[in-house]
Parts: sequence; structure tokens; C-alpha cells
Amino acid sequence: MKNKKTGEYYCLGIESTADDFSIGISTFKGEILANIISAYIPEKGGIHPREAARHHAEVASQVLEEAFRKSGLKPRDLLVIAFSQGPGLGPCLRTGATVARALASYLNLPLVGVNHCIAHIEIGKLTKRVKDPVTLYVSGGNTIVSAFDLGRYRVFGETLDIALGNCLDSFAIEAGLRQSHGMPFGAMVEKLARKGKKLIPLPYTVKGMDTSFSGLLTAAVNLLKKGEHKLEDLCYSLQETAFSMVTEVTERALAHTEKKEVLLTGGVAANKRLQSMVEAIAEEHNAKFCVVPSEFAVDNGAMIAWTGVLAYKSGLVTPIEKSFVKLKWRLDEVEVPWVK
Amino acid sequence: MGEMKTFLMKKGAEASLYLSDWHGRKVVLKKRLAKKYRPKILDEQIRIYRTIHEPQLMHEAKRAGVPTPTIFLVDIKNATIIMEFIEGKQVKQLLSETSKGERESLCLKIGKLIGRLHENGIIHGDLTTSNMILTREGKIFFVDFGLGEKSKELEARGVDLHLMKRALQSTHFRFAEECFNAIIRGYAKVMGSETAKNILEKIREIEQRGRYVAERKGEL
Amino acid sequence: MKAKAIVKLKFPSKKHLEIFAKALEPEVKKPATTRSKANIEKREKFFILMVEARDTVALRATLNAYLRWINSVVNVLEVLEKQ
Repeated sequence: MKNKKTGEYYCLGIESTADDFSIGISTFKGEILANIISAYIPEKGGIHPREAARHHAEVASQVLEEAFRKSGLKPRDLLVIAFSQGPGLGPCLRTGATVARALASYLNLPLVGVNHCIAHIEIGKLTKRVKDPVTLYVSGGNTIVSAFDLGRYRVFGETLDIALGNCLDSFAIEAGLRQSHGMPFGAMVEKLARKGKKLIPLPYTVKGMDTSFSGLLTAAVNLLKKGEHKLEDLCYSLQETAFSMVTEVTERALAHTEKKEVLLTGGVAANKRLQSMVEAIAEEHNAKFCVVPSEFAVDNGAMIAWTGVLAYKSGLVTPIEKSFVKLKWRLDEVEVPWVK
Repeated sequence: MGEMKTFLMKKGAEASLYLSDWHGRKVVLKKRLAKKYRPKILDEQIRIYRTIHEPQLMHEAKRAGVPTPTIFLVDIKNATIIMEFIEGKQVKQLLSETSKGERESLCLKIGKLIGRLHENGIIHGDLTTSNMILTREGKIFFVDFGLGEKSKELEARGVDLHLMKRALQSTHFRFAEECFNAIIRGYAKVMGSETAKNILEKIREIEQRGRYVAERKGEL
Repeated sequence: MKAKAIVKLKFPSKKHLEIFAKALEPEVKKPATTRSKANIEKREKFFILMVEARDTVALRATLNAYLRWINSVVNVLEVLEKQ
């Protein structure tokens, strides 16, 4: 419903594709009123989908309550419920979807299923005031170079196996590092890499505009186990090699599309070294370079809420009975009528 | 090289292409430029490797019956290749200009050429319509083998054609499907329908590949 | 199918029943695995969840998933009603 006091409309968005459960609230004009993120951090090792889903189910109501508190809104103020419908981990997606359906049906509001990858691009565009960028989206689950053309975000390059963030995380786990709140694996690798000096040769795999990280990870882990190199040097070499690969393909997409903006987003976007590399290619092609602020670069509910607004305004809704989760929902399968 | 009149033809992401004159021949000078964003050692390794590797693959492709520009000189130190200039039109432009029938026959030919590459263990590594040039005589030249490799693995072939398909989808969305189907038909003529079927299966698998490794482990 | 479980839950109102059914129906229709199958039914004030599975491991996993979803919806509705 339209808020009588403010004359505004609001959308609540639920994100639960991987290890974060988050709820965000956005106005129809794109003001973010709340973005509450609850990260699941496993005791040991990497993310286990079922464990993460259990975390999401446990924290859902608290996160919701916190989102209402932060925004100062009441449930009846909302006009739309959005949720990330995919791509992602099955058990995690299903938990968020169930909560979203319950909210929509209890409040009798329309439901909008949002593509998680598109949401990353849209929130980046909103927060950085970017219009038509080449986006490099790098996280634990995705590595995508994308740009808009003819009604959709096209995929120019992607990973052929594991995601960049996954590669860094897996290496950190093998090295026995432990992550904590405020210090994820990626940040630990970055910190160590800063002290590295020696570039150890590692496989550099670029195919067309695609990248592959599994060979790189295997090689780095093998060297780690041999114990002949300093961990700092390995982290440095791993980062330099992997980041050079994604930067190379981003540059190719930029040269190909001749767009004038480059947007860096996803959890790995927080890495300063990656930022400097991507910035360098943006400069070379006279393009504006933007990094999405960390709160909106990691998986978050605000991006789902905002993309829900865009979709809803274009007349897109997802009937509850058809709101199945889509584990492998590709970014380029989705029409984005709100982009001109 | 001091005497040559040289014009910058195209500044790509990886290399700059100059149109030049070499002993009376019209040539292309492909210079791989240093990239400041990556460490110098890595940058040199990459540029030198590709500079050596590309002409080798182009030569092998030619022997396999796939037209490629003739290489005149490889200057490893400067990461530069001097090759024959091919007079013609980029397939990228042609596809959007020509008729449906023309498009189909063009793509059929492209498919056959890719088949010949794969049959001879050559993976192009960057199959896009901007890397193909149609000459007035109707020959299609393949260029840009810098990311190529030697392999007869189904995986490598699948990735190669997946790149082709994605390039069509991202630049020629309106007729990507019809073009790719024609390419596969041409490919099947050389490689046999069984191999083509397996490749299509592989491409589907590549496209569906979960980016979430944890999930694959988790759902065991 | 070797293992089967039926869970009966009592809800305060028909509206609640309806919400739980709507929230879970898509999951029932497109299950995550072929090793188990769930079904839901509304009978007066009761919400009935039936799970059939290939073995007890799969039965437990599916039951757990549904009960967790139900529980999070219960908690979410509480938040909504409080506001």
C-alpha cells in the first residue's frame, strides 16, 4: 500500500542463494531503507548447502524484524515482496522462497522472483549512478562479464568451472586459514598476498572471454602441499594470476562493446588489488570505473528489493503457485524490459 | 621496419593491428602490447607464448584446409607478428547485412571449417564472427589463434563451440539460433553426426555447469 | 518407497493453513530429489504433511527440511502479527 505519510511505495526483498540470508527494503524511487545481512559462517571449511539453509531458516524471522525496525515501516506499508529465485544452492533458495511466499500470501501482496545476478548489476547501477556498464561480477558462486544489449544482459564471459571467489576460498581452506565475521577467506588471502614478493608460475587459462580456475587451484594447492614456497608468495601468485585472467576478459568485453563504464561487483570486488587492475583497463579505454560499495556488493536483500521494484514497475510478477526456485537460472535468459 | 608507412587499423584489447607495407606486400602487423595491470614477468610470459603459439596454429590450420593469413615474420622480442593482409569483410558485419539464405550458407561453411580444425586437433580458442573474414572469392579466413591449443578432447571441442555459440548470442542475438544450428550442420558434415551429437550434449553440460562446487559436493 | 511419515500440525485459523499450504506447495510440486516425495493436505484446522522416502536417511532429510520451513514461517508470521 502507498504510505499515507510519505506517499511512497516499498518493496521488501529476500536474498538466500548461498551463505547469506538477507532482507532489504527499497522505496520505488530506489532509496534503500534497510539491508540486514546475516552471514552463515561454518565452523570449519567451506559452505555446506544444508547447513547454510538451516541457518537461514533459523534467522529469517529475526532478520525480518530487524529490517522493519531499521526502516521504520510496518508490514502493511509494503507493496511488493521480491525474492531471489536463482541461481544458487537448492536448500538455501528454497528456504528464502518459502518465507517470501508466506509473506506475500499473508499480506496479500504480489510476489516477484528476481534473478540474483541481475540484482547484483542493478544495485551497482543504482548505488554508483551508472547507466550502461560492462560489469565484472565476481563472487563465491559466480564469475561473469556482462553488458546490456537488445533487451537482456548478455554474458560475454564466464567461468568454465569454479568461480573466482570459490578458487580463493578453497585455497584458503587448504592452507588451514579460518574465516570469521568481518574477515572472510578472500580478505585473508588478500592480506597475505600483500606480503608476497615472488611470482610463482601458475596455469593461466583464458578461452575466448571465458576463464577457468580449477587448474589454477589444483596447481596452487599442490605447491602449497610441497611446502617449498612461502604462503605469502603463493597467495600473491594466485591472486595475480587469477585477477589477470578476469581483467583480461573484462578488457576484451570492454573493447568489444565500446561501453564507457566498468562496474566491479560481487564479494571479491572488495579486493584492492583486483580493483586496481580493473581500474587500469577502464582508464586505458577511457571508461569510468566504479566499485560497488561492499554492503551492496556481497549478497544482500536490498539488491533483490530494488530489482523487484524495477521488475514490478515493468509489470512482471510471479504467481505464488509458479514460484519454483531455479538453481541454474542464467542471467541471459531473463528479459529486462526496464533497461532501455 | 623504419621505412614502412604504418597505420593503426584496430586497437583491440590484447593487440594492436597495424596496416603496413612489407617488401611491397600489404601486411598486418600484430603487436601484443604490454599490459600494465599484470606483473611484468607474467605479462611477458603471456605475450611471448601467444606470439610463438599463434603462428604455429595458423600454419597447422592452413594445412588442415582452413584459410589463414600467411605468416611472414615473427618478432618474439617485440611480441609482433607480420602476416598477410586479407582483403575482405568481417563475418560479424556480414551476418547482420545479408539475407537469411546467405547467412545459412555462410554459417554452414563456417561449421565445416571449424570441423576441419577440430578434426586435425586444432582448437581455435576464440571463435567469434569478428575473427572470420570473407574474401571476394568466397573464402573464409580464420584469424586470431592466440588463445588456441592442440587438443582432440571432447571437452576442448565443446568449449570451443560453446564460445562460438555465446559469441553469436551476445552479438547477433536475433539470429543466433539459426546461425548456430547451421554451423553445427556444417560441423557434422566433417566430423560425422555422432560426434556432432556428442558435442551438442557437451555444450549443454558446459552451459548448465553449476558454478557452485559446494552444491555438487553437498548433494551427494 | 520404504519409509513413510505423517506429521499433523494444528493451526489457529484457516488463514494460517492457507498460508502454509501456499508457501510449501511449489516445493511439493518440484521436489529437490527423487529419493523422497512429500505431500500436504489441509483437513479442518490440521495441516498434514506426508513424506515417503526410499530410506530413513532420505526420510529424515526431507522431514527436517519441511519442518524447518514450517518453523521459519511460524516465526515470520509471529513477527508480522506483532507489528
